[in-house]
Amino acid sequence: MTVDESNVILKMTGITKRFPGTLALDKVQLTCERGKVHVLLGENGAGKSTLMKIISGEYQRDEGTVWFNGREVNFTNVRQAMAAGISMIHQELSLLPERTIAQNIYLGHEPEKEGFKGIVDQKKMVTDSKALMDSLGLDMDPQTSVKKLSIAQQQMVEVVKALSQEVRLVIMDEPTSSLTSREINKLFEIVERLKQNGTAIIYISHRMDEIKRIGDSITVMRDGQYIDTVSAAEADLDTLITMMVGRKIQKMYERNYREPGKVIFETDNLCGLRFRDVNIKVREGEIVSLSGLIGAGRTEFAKAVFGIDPIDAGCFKLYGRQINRIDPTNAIKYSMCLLPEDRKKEGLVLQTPIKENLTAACLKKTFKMGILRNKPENEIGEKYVRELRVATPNADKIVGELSGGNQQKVVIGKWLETGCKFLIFDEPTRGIDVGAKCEIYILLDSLVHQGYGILLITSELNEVIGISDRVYVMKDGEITGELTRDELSQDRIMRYAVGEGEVV
Amino acid sequence: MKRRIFMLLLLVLLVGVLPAWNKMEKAAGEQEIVVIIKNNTVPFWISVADGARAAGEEFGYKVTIKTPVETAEGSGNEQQAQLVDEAIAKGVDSVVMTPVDSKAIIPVVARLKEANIPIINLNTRIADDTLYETFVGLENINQGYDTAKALFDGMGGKGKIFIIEGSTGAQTSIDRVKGVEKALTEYPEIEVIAQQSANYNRAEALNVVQNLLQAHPDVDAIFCCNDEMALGAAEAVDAAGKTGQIKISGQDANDDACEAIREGKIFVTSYGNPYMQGYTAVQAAVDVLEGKEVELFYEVKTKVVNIDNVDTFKD
Amino acid sequence: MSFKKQNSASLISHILILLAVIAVMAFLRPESFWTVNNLSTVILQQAPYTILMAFGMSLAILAKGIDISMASVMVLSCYLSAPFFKEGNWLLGVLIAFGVGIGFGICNGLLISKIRIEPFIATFSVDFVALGIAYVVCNGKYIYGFSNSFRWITNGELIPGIPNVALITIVVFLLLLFLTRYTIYGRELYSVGYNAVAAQHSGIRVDRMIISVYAINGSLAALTGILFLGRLNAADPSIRGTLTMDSIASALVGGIAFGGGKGSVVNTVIGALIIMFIRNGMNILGISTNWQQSVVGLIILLSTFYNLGIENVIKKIIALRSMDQKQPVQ
Repeated sequence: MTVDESNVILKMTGITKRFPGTLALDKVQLTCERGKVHVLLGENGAGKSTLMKIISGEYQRDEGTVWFNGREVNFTNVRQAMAAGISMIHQELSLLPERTIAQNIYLGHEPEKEGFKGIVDQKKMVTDSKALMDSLGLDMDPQTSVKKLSIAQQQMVEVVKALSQEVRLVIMDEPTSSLTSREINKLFEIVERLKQNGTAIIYISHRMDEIKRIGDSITVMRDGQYIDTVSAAEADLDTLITMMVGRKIQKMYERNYREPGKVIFETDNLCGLRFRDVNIKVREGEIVSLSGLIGAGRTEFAKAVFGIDPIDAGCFKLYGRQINRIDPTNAIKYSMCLLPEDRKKEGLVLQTPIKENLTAACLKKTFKMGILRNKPENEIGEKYVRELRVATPNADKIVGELSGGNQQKVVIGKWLETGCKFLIFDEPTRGIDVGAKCEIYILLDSLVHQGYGILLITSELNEVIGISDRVYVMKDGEITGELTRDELSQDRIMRYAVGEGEVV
Repeated sequence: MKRRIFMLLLLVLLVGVLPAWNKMEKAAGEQEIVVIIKNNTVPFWISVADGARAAGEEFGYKVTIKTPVETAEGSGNEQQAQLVDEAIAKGVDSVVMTPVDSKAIIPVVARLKEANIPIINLNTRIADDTLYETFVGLENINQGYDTAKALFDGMGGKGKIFIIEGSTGAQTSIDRVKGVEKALTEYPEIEVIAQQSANYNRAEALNVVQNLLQAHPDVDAIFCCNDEMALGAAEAVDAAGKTGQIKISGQDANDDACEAIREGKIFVTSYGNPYMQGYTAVQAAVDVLEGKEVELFYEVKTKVVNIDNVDTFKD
Repeated sequence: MSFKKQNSASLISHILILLAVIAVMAFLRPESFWTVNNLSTVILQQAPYTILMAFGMSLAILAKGIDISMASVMVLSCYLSAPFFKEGNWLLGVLIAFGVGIGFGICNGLLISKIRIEPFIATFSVDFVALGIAYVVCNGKYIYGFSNSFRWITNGELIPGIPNVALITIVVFLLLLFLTRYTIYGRELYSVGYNAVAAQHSGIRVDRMIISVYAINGSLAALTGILFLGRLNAADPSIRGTLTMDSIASALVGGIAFGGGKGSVVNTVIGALIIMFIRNGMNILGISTNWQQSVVGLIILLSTFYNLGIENVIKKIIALRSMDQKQPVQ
């Protein structure tokens, strides 16, 4: 594609970076223009983050040249890059929860009172933050403390923080991974404003739909190598995916629908923390999605059903058994499991090997008489590494060293080994690259064919529409609508999710 | 703002009323003597407290015993300081004081003096003798000297010894060791081959002596600065199969040590008459309060205890 | 680098510290330190008490906790059971000792797991409670003089040359090693230590696990107390001494990491021996007992620094030798 040379702000050529034992980047190139959004696409481990860290001064390149704003540069630390006008918004939030929005925005470069060196001008900080947020169309009080904000709002503060200094290039690393579509729209409005101001943006994301919405050009990377740069307007989704994974993926969402069996899970006016009067059911051989905005109470619902959090009122039936109170141990005994939202904190013991994580939920079943033995554990380890195609030399590898997608496969393996037939999956594909996502979708489909029942909680509407048999939509802790496969559309789900379901 | 003013008023009221209330309480009862000692867990100090209470009853004064909660040396001084401040706040009539730390207590005791509360120093000297009316206690140097002499005589006037000290900085330990040193000048054939602290602690003395025996298997006697450590040393010697060969001396003559003397595990100890110490201290306090002349030092006599008088020394 | 190799690197590095301590002392005082008699005195007579207590401490630390109350619980169980041992009513004595130990242990466990008090604060408070009761019960009267048959439990030699206390410690060691390394219980203990939330999500009853760990601590305290009665021939609150701090130090010096999950009871034994040999060696060298505290403190610091350095070197050597596959860097 063609590039307007006069408009180029960043130009990287022949960038190579070696780590002990690996070649992380191999002669990669990247060119960004003022006022344009450049999307960086690639699976996890493709080298995107390493490349960004070289731009922002966290890493030093081994070979290659970087031109920024017309000069050749070599940033040796983050401060230098910031001073030059490069700002990075991290995927993980790095705000101080006890401080106010304004204090967070100006952290590290607080305005000083005139004539008083070293004294922070609180008033100016507040008014400046307010002005900055107004200019971005954000309606928040700069004196609110950050811990009171939702994840999405915190993400916005991160953006504002990145823009509080003079910025020429903003790097956004998966900024939408924890946002709902309404919040994503807000973020994209901000991106538009930045573009108008002539700021260049590098945007990293896994979400195909949004890439086409806001991207101007797209660079694809794979295994540390530069594949190609294409114009977003001309790019074809399937081609992009093929470039990313290096093989052709037939279809994102593979479903073979079948007639569902008997009801295995049914709630009766279930109430708990942040949800109430929930009545839903899941049948054998069915994928039922629980959709809604972040904070609608879906995760809380899942945790209460699994026995992590208490049930305040109501009850539910699981395989015909009436349950009023439950804990995870009994939940598993009754053939239910929860794939938790946060796999690193809740799903896995990161410091231990794959095989130990696989047997963690069924120790008593695996080991007779309470004595650990190597043989059954190794067999289980090898079985799931093979069947779920976990990318690892063997099942002795520490789980924390695997990529997100492979970690998630281990969590799924853990639950499959228990033999539980009712599975609650809370955001199973969050932060996972396209290839692994696809594998998980195929796996879910094959599971329901074996008679499993699946309750899926996900914030990606495409996913909801792509693989669900039925969808419940939750808003503010209540079920506001139920949609069958034939009725599914983004529009309908959103209407229920924001509370305009009746208007349809 | 209104609330703040209200709180302030309340505070002023409280501060004003409290002392008055204290005085009222005092006027209603008899005169009070507070006895601050080192602890209430060791038999020695429990006897001191018993003696003090007995004297209080006899002379018609209210005697209150106060001690730091923990036996640890470090925190003891802090807690004694607190007890003194409480006594000042309460407005007691006299304080009998046994410092955990002879030097660190000086500024604390000076506050009592400022408040015109007469101080009787008991058992362990306060390092500034202008602060107290009189000192009641035994002369730890003499006690150490007497015991050491009895031990050396038992050894036939020659041989090698260990000295097991109490907690570092404790005046009793320092003085008792001084007593041993004084005795050593009279017995030139006695040689000190090791000198270490076991913190007045039985279990620690057991390990320390056991270790020292490895370095010096040829030792003939062990001088310990209290009975607890002597009992620990006795077990170490017993474990080495040398009971009777290695003679051990303690101090204080507590029940366990007397039992060990009967068993032949400890050779000699020394009775400091704790009951008498407590009694005499309160008696001195009463004398001061009643305006009688007091001497600068009331020495409570110590008695060497061995197998010959172990059943009769308290009579 | 696999899981097991990481752990063995840590263990080897701590055995090296122990050997270094022994080598220094043996070099300075070969005639008194480097003798069978001295080494066996330290290992077989002095160390078992610290080791037994440190086992309990290690379990607590592995489960992401700590047990400050152990030594005081030991003193109390000692005090309440001693009169019965003295009378010869052994069964009742044992029941009371373990009853008190396990009772306080369960109490700690409940405070930590159900009421969710920080382990340090919960056990620190229980420490005061137990010691306070011990002082009240004791009321300044020590219990002295036990029968030889009772003291045989500690000092006798069922196997000639090895005092029973050492034998008991070895048995407890083997039991705990088996329990932590080869049973489901051990696996669950480590899971809770590493990540209690994930353990809970896997259906492990975290509360019960924590309560059981502190109950085991309590019973170890009771056992140590009974054995201590035999060694000291007396029940005396001062035996609490520095045992709590020594057992924390043993765990740390042995390479058990605060924050849970790392290390095993083998590390504990190594750590306790390091501490005991330092105390023994310094006594023999004639260095003031007070210095021992400072030196133990320094050793804790050193072993922490050393963990970071030497351990990595050893890991690399093991990795090279086993020709581990190279892992790509993400």
